[in-house]
Amino acid sequence: MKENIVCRTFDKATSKLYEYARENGIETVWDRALAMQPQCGFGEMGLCCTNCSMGPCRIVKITDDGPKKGICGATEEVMASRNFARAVAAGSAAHSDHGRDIAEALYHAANNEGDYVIKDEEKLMKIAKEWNVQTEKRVLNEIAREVALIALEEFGKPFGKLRFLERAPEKRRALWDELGITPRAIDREIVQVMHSTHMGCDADYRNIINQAARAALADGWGGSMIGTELSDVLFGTPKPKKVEANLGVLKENYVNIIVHGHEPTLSEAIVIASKDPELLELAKKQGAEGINLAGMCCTGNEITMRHGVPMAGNFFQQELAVVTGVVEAMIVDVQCIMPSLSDLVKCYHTKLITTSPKAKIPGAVHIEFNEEKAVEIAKKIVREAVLNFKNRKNKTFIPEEKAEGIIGYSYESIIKTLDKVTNSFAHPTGTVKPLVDAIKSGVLRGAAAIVGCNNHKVPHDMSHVNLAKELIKRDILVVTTGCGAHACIKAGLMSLDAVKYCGKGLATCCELLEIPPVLHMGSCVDISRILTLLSDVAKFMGVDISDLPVAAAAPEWMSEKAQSIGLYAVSSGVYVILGVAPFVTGSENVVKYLTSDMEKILGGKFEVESDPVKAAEKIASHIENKRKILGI
Amino acid sequence: MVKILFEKDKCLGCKTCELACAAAHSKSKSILGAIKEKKFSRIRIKVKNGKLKVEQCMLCSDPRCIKACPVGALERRENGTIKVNDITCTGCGLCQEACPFDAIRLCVLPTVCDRCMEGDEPLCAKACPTKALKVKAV
Repeated sequence: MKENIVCRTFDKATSKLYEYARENGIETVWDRALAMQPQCGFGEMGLCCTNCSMGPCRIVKITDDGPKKGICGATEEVMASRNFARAVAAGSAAHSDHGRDIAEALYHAANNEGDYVIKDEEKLMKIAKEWNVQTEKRVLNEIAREVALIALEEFGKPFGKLRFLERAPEKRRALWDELGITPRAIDREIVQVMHSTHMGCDADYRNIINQAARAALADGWGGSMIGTELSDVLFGTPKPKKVEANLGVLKENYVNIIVHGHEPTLSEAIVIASKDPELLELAKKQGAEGINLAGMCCTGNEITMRHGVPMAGNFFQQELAVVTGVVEAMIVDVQCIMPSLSDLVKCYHTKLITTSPKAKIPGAVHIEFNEEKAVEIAKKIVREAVLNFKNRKNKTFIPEEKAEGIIGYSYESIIKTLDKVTNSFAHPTGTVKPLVDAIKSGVLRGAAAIVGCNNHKVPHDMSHVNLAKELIKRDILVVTTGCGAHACIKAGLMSLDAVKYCGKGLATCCELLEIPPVLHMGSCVDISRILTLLSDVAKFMGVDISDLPVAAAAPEWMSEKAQSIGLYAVSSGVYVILGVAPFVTGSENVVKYLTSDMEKILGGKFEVESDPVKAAEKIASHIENKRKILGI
Repeated sequence: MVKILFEKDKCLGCKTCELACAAAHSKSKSILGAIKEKKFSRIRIKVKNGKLKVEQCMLCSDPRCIKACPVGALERRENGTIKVNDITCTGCGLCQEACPFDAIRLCVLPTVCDRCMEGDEPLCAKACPTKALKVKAV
């Protein structure tokens, strides 16, 4: 890494704004990453333990006479696996708590408390049937209330296992049972990891990782899935629509509001408030032409999928949005919100508004959100933004870059799209048959998910975009969520034009179905949509998920949530490529377990590969190998 | 003279040496005390042009810092370390600019490694968990 190329990015808007920030003496994530060098090797290898106050303990492998055990005797395997497991538990907790908030919002809606109403009755009925909730002779709200209560019980029920696991292929469920990693209640699995990684508990790295897998599965098939499914019930299941993306969506003469964070409960209310005639009138009085709402990170994904709200950018662009000087308010809830925003907004007129009791930032305006008074509070927040328009300074810079793409590919939308090519005389509609046929015939070689964050250790957006391009070139359909989705749409990979990057087979499929080769499936909790789709394909083919010609990659991941996602994908039988190594490299055994041994017991495994071209080659060869075994 | 050798292949960048140095030069002899007293570390582990580097006084035989000082406030001790006269030093920072190893930092007055001459041995090397810093008497 050369010092003079601090901001390595694929995205032009980002590099322009980074330079602009630098000229103005504004510090951003890249500057802090540079200042942080060198980063501590003990932490990087997972060989530093602070779990008890006899420590901190560090294992020194680089010299012969350095300590090889912690003071309690914890070995490198124990330290690395415990640290990893705790990160997974934290990630699972974050996604699952998000899911719980959505379930609570559904409960309030069912009781007619507050502003939310059930938008997708069909989906509610589907879940009700799945959970054996009586639907006949009952009013909608009663059904919704019972579904919400059952969902809330999933977090702490004393007996049984998670209900959504029924979606998984039978073979997979049997495997989880056999290994003793079938998740029971969501909170319980997270608590169990925290307990067994407490000082003096579990000292078998394989058992520690297996328990982490259980907590991760409780995220994917529990918390995240509840978050996705009940969000669809409450706010509508996403449908394909055309949207614009990148910081170029900000408008000079408008009140620009950015919602950033994760939970759609807040952002949905902000969408409603931003269309309020009174507030629009107020905006005009302040001299603005209107209110321009844009979404950032996953909450951006949530509202773009459901309302077509422009996507402002991903994780590494949050500071740059403020740097444009045209953002009246950045409204945040939970997760991935850089604390640096608070200092940054002091240099601009932008108001940073925190809304969650779980995420307060000193220096921000805290207007606490609650689901019962959602729209009232959202209006108050939007009013703050509108009234801030007059404080905008003259010096602004909106980069011209913006791209267009089609988004909104929920599981249901994908099935509906496939129905277009189902012969309705010969076959029932509403199945994955056309997708399976395309894969079996070899027109499509397989599918891969590109998910995850941004990380300074790899160039911003570059791995997401280049990996996606390399995969679609090889006739591998790409689905994406989270910050990876932002990267792909900005690079034009979600437009119908992107077929020019595809191999012949995939290009034909895309043209026939009128879809882009990279499908936006939502936010990071929406990776549960991918699990549902994988399960249905596996069940349709009569195989397990691990038999499918599919793979996943998190080329720029950074968060604990990403570690949980990675582990639930691996535990569900998926081959997962990570662009950045997790903090486990200090133990060869732990590395071997995650990258090789796990495949023997769970069918999925991790692999670390930061070069997108090599990653694509590995995914392609994995897919071809799976095809060979399937005999297709 | 006490040389401190830096083996960059062994360094993990944990910066324990920096903490130990600051603590050793604080009144309270503790890390928290050093932070409160604003005592800087006299050794720094940095990445420059992608490579690990140590910033610490190299005990030059003909120190540029001394030459750069317009008021003659710096002198070389017998053991090679730099002594700062805190009465005549104006804190102008020219010595800091002159040092080819970036070994001097202004903590009001210039602070530079004294090889922990009040104690038995340099505490940075003693604290290094990987023995990337090694003391060699020459």
